[in-house]
Amino acid sequence: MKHFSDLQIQELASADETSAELSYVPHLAECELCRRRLERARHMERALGRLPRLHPPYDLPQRIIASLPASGVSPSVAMGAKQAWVVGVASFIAALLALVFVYQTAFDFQSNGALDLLSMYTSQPAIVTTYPGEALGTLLNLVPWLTLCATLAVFLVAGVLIRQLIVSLGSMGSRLKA
Amino acid sequence: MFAVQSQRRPLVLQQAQVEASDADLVTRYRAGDPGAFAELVRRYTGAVFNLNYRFTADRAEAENLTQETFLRAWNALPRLALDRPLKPYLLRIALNLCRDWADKKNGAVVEPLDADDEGYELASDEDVLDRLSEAELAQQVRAHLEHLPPIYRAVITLRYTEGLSYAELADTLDLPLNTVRTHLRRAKAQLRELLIVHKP
Repeated sequence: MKHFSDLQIQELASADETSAELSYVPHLAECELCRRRLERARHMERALGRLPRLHPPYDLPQRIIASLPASGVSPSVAMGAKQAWVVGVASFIAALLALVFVYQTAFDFQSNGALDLLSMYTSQPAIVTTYPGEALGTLLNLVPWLTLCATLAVFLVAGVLIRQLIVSLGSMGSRLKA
Repeated sequence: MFAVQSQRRPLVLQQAQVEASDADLVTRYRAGDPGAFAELVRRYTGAVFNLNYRFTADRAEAENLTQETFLRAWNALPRLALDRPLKPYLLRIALNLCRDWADKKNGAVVEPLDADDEGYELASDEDVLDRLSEAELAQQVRAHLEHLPPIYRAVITLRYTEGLSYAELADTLDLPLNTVRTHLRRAKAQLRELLIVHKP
């Protein structure tokens, strides 16, 4: 008869089932030796479970906290906070630039005559329906493309930076709530 | 009604602060909140000190190693994955520091593994332990645990005092699961032999 190994006895002893329940395990039902080994292992498990924790001095946590650098955060975390400030300033500058470009684009639309042309197309739609290609071509020639593309690019950069800032502020906000 | 609500809010807020998870505290720490790390220190100083003291059997050294453990964690936490349990991670740092301390003091302390786990012969001397009550056996375990090699004391402490599962033990010890089981079996076997030799 092949008995349970020590590892198997250890696993059984650590299990939640009682000895009575484990008696239905085929070999245990037949082998008194392994049942005695299991009971002995459980006896030891229960004794080990009563092993007490050795408690530290009551002031050890405070001493540990006090021993940390004055800022209370590691250099890598502090660097993250500084980066958040940089992103914040960059976001503000990008938002201001976006407003400037929007104003410039609107001014260019006006000075090139594109707005006037659009107004004419709106009031006299027959021009567009009769000469669609020429009407569109004329309008496209008057659009200030360079300014328009620059405005879109600045908006994109500002959007990315603001999104990054919102994520950082969200983390700081959860800290403030706590 | 408003007065009652305002009286209730601080208790709810306090309860929410007490129950902040480890992941929440790590997140807040990464956002720059030093109070979050202080809370982690308060939460786990007991477990880390217990392991260090069981390993070194030297109270002053255990305090130093506990402080060093949290200093290392303080630097390493920004890189820690948030889904990783924190207690086994801290205990792993502590155990590595204990091993370094032991290497400087005495040399290697890890027992070699023995692959033979097949078969068993019941020694009659073990009946001696059967006659002890659970409380008496627990007292004998406490008295003779210090005679085990440090790494076995650590394994037993992590499993039975700190309540780590086998998987958490494997993470803390940085060993495969089966190796952890073998370490535990050998630790308990050696403890049993000690108890028999020093039977009351």
